[in-house]
Amino acid sequence: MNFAANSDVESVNVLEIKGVTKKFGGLTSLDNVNIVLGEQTIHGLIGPNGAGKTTLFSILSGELRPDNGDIYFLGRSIKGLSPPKRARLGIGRTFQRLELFKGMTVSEHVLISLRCRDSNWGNFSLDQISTEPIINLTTSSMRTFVISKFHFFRQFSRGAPSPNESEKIKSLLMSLNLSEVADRQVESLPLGHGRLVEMARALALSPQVLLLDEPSSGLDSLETQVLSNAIKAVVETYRCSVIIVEHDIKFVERLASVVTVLDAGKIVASGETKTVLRSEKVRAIYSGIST
Amino acid sequence: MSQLPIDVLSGLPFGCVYGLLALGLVMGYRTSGVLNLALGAQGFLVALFFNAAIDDGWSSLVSFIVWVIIFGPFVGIALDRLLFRHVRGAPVVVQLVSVLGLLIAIPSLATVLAGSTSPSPHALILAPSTIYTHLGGYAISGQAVVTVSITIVVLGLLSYLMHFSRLGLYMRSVVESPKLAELSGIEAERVGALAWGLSSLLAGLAGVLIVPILHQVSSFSLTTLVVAATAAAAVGGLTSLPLTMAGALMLGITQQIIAGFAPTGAQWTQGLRPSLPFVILGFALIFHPRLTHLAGRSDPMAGINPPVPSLDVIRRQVRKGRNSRWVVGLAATIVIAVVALNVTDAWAFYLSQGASYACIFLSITLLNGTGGQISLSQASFAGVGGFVTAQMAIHFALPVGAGVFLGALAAGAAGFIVAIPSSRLEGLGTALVTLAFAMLADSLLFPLSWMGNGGTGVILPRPQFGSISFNSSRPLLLFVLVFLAGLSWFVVWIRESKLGLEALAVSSSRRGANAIGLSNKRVSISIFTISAAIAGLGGGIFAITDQSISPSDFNSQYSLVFLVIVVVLGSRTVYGALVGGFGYVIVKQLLSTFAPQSFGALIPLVVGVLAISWVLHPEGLIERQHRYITQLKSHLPKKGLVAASK
Repeated sequence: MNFAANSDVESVNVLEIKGVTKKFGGLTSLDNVNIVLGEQTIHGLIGPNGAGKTTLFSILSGELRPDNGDIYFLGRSIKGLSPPKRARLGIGRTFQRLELFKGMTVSEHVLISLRCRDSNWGNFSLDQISTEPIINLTTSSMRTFVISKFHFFRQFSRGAPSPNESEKIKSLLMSLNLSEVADRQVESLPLGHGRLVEMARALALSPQVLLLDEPSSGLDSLETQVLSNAIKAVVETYRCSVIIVEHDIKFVERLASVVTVLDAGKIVASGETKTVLRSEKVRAIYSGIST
Repeated sequence: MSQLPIDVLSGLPFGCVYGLLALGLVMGYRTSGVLNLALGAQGFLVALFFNAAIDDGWSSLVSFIVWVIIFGPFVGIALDRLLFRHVRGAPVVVQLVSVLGLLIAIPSLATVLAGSTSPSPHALILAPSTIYTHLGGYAISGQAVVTVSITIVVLGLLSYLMHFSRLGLYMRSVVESPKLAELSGIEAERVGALAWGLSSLLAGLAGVLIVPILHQVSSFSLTTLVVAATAAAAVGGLTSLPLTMAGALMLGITQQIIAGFAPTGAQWTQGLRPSLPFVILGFALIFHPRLTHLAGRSDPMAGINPPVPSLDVIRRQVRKGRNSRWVVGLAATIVIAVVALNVTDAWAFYLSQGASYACIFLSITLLNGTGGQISLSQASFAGVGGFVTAQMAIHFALPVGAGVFLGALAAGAAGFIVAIPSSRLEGLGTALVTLAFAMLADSLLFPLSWMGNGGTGVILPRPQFGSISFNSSRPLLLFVLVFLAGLSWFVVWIRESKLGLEALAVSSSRRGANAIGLSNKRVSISIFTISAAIAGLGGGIFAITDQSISPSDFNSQYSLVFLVIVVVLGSRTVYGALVGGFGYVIVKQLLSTFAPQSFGALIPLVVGVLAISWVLHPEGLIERQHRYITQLKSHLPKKGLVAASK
């Protein structure tokens, strides 16, 4: 079964998860999961512990491989791609337990991400996903080859940002209200700021899909409010789609237009957020939690 | 009569000894996550006292009870109290360096305590070479009977302990989660201490059993035995005791078969038998699915009441402004000029040697300080650089300068080859792969005629650039110091380059780096290759300073000592490498000139103790002092405030 993000409006599917199944030994963590993510949509992924949310996230980011099924990004299969290649294609992510670069400042987090996007390793595109051998040594491909070899030496270039890079960093940090902590090392930041830094780092890749793993985890109500405003602003400013895995139902309700509920690896409900969260099935799963 | 069964029977005792040590290794690792590479050294300590006591007239039974049954476990429990329980959950480099400290310190301590004279090897019960029985027509020696019988008894007791006793149940629960075990009323630390005691008992037993087979109580043979044990443990994925034992038996038997069938005479065949454990270790690490992510074990309940983060996470950017760099550069130039023009020829030679070590140490600064990687083969890369430099000068009549450059390229190529498999691994896995390479270089690569001249070493001339000759030590010192200054600048430049920033990101969080499209492999391989090339340059400079190089100059043990020196002083700053390089040579010379000969044995002990104490200050001694000075300054009254108060 397919659940379109916005069935009555014709839109391009940014990401399609088709029939994904994942088993760990005898335990089925995901069972024939199908999800479609539309353009500039915030899609919530909820479910109790052990529902398979994190497994699905790991499969989307390439850390795990599905036993069955496939994932399509802008209509092309990305099943065999490694996490770095998916990131370079335009699938950014954040982590429930922060994965920041200790010893680096907030600006440097954005800088390194910008450079990954702009380097020759960053120029990975959907056209490169091909099983056919590259034997056509045209002038153009040779030129690309020479340039890529030249790029190898660029990695030894100076680490300080160029004026152009500085401008981009400034603008990105301003959009997430991180300008004041731009030169601070990330270890000294509170958790809420840390989550925004992860988001800034992911946004520097100019992603088309942003995967947010439990973004409100560990935040107080004020920080959660700031974060939810930031996520809304990100979708409007950067025109990307977002998938949020979250335990906080109210947080998801505030943000997501579409929600998918997983339980024991299966999709139990999917569709418009308010409708899904009011359904008896979902209320039964979340018994005791008011929606 | 067929040779194969004879080889199998003669390989069994070796396999049993490897197995006992490997079981001890796995028990310690499973309980605490620390791979105790010093277990062979613990075995040596027990074997030394056991044999020395028999030399002093003790009966073998009394000596066995006192030293193996009582003293052996006591060593393990004491080490757990003093060290292992404090590094549980710490970063791999902290665990590894503290264990290397033990590996270096224990044999030195044993020599200081027991005296420099090695005791005679004694058998536990039966005469080792006497034939006691025959099996299918094949003779069985006393040593084989004793070793195999004791191993079978130990295996039986261990199986009972782990599967049927309450202590075994506690141990298995502590392995899964010390916090959960504690919530169930189990004293996890006491159970951990018992596991370390048992592990040390097995090491002592292995040491006592191997001595009659080797016919000597040798610290080198016993401490390196741990590599064979690690290979066996790797076959069992560092978790399965039966597979570990099977791996050990296979290793011991295969070694004997190779010794029996390999053609004699050729240099490479002599190195084949001792190399087998390193080859198996390398293959197991690369292809065993459980071993590719040896980043350290963690308690699934670690998030509940988490401990204070280890000091290693407090990273400090050592970045200086441009003005500060010019001041440091100018001061360095003045010091270089004054020193090079005023020292005696002898000290010019020693300082040149110190500079060559500093070059090698800079490779560790880059690899560990910037890349967060651990290599136990930097001395081997230096050896490759040195030998290629020498061989190019001798056999191809190339200028020595060009030879140094080619040596660096060769070391870089060797580093690239090692980096490819090790980039698949994390932390401990990388360290073990490099250790396997270092051991292979010792036994197979350096003894080759076209490399180390059959193990005897190579003699080469000093460089000559046009009319400038470096035959005298003072001009050479000037040249080497300028070269070192350039290399230091290069390391700082790499650290602050785009690659340096990426390496810092990868070493901080591999998942985070993947999430922004950074290829961990590319960054790790680049840093490792450059680091190996720098070590090769250092090896080349050492060779032209010394005018000779031999395999003993850069054997695998030096790699351990070099790593310990650099990280203890501070691997995140070039000063650590510079102080380490010169300090190493100066202290050695001062001790050999002014101190009694017996003090020589204390140097490894001091290095070992420093490594163990590093757990308390993982940022390194130099950064630690810098922090103290900064703190002291912050307590002094500030001028502005004083003026305002007036």
